[in-house]
Amino acid sequence: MVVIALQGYAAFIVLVMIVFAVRHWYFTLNRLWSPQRPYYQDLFDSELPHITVVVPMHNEAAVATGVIDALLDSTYPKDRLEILPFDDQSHDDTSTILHEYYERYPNIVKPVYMLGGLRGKPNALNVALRLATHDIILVFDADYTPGKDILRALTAAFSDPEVGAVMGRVIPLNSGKNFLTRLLSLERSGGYQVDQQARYNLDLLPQYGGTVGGFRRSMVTRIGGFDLSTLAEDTDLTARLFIEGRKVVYANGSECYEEVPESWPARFRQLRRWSRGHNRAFFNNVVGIVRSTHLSFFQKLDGVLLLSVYIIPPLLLIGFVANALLFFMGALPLWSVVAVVFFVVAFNSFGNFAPVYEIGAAELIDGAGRRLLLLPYLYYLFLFNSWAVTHGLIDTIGDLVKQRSPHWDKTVRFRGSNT
Amino acid sequence: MPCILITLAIEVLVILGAQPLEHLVSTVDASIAGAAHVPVTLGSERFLWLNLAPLEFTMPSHDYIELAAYILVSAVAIGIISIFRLFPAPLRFFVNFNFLIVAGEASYLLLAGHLGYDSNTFSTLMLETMTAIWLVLPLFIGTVTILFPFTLLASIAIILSTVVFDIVLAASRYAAFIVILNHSGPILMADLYLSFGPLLDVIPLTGIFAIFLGLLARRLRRDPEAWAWL
Repeated sequence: MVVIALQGYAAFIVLVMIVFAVRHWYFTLNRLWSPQRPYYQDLFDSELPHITVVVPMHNEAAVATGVIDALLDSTYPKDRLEILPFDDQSHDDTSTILHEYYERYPNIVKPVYMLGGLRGKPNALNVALRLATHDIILVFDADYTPGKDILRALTAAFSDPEVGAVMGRVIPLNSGKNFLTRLLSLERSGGYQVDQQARYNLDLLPQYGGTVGGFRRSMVTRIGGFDLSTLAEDTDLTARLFIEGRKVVYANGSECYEEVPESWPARFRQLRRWSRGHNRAFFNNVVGIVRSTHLSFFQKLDGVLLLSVYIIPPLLLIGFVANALLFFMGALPLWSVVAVVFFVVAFNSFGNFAPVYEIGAAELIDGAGRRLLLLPYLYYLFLFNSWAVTHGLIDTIGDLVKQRSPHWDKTVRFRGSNT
Repeated sequence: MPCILITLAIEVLVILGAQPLEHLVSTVDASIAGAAHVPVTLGSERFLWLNLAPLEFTMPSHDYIELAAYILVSAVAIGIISIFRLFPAPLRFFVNFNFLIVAGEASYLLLAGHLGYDSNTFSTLMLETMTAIWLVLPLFIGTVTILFPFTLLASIAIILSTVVFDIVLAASRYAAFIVILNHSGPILMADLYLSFGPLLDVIPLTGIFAIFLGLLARRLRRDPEAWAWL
């Protein structure tokens, strides 16, 4: 009985891996060989609307000037631009820095000082929904460096009245710093250059990633604003917009530069936080996705697979335990081993869940050379990522059982450090 | 289309060559084991349409004191590695994972008295695993290769080199496992198979693929016309 149960579980895991492997194989095929769906900037040349740019900050003194200077340096007309940097209960010099910008650019930079109450990005965004002057709100994290034209490019998507949110491409700024940052750069590349673009091409569910993107205030307000119970307000918003029949679009050409974690503990915490938030978004929205009358079968399938990506690694870890027990008992099914060998390829990088061929394709399009040789090292992250994601799932279950709201665990910034 | 034909041709080649290959691997591994002073006898098992010759060898058994020591040492090692953070996190997790399997196997042996596999069934499992991987490998690599604008020659080279590499890797690993288990006893059997067994094939195979992908990237950089496919 135990053997049958364990073998049944192994069969389930194999099936899941095959589904993901085939999905990403098809994404790669689409990205490399199919006509690419044009982005709105390529279609429209409409008059630029007024926009609000929100930058949530908590103890961001090391990077605050970088992001605000970059926004002020953008080509977007300054008379149509409002920047709302949020100082979310910082203990460093963030508020002083923001005040200096306010004194220099009082009509553009309007800092918001959150002195108490609930801390975290979802709460800051809900406040932004009330304080922003304009309907189109773009969001950047404090460690990001927006390019000169990115505001124009992202805003172009809102020419389509059905678009609720837009997401640009994230590129690591510090990818050459060490081994970890190089591997994370590979992950990001696969996740955006191929995965997001293919989902946009195929009219599936591109994900609003919370940074390097934006949303329409009126639509987000209509669906109840940002959910404070999740740390992945971006994934949650993506799901809720699609459930309501709105669009989320991806702008591959809108590149923005971020700082990826440079230390393993920082990466572990980041992944754990993503997993905690993403899994909460899964539990909150999976039924809605399946029952939505606005989505096609394939959109629903993509939505469920997208929401469940951070549930799979713990299931896979349990699958390994099941296989070990079956081995102890002398009942290891051969098909399970062979399938794991081949389809583990689909699970080598849990950050953006891009399998090795997807990352290879992305790097090829990006004109990579020697860094392609790092591909096999992605397996080095296998247990690390699985364990971090499993911690996140345990946190989510704890949140659901205890009805608690998670606190925001900010990713450590490395800019200016020698690590 | 040419890539599909190449894949199918190599697949047929592997299917036709599987039986002599199995025979060769068992014979060579028996010689290696003999050279390492591990006495082996060739058994006989049927797998799909193939006759396998698993190598039977002897293994020392473990008493309960030895097993308890394995559990204790594994627990202490995991504790020390975790607390003092002796290696980067991914490596630490991998080392701990291996100690966990050893501790798990020792616990199972303590409770059940014996492991599900003996030297014969373990050898059979190893041979069946490597055969199944060889049979699926051309199709899998071909399916991935077809995604990229490789030349015909490169496609052949990728599929053939991964298959040949995996044959050599699997055969030498099988011999190494026999020698290790002959000295260590069954306590390392699960760890060897689950941690250093077929699952590890993915890494060098990806490495080979990455080398060819790098060469393709170089070609694409030199020749802008090559981007016409995109």
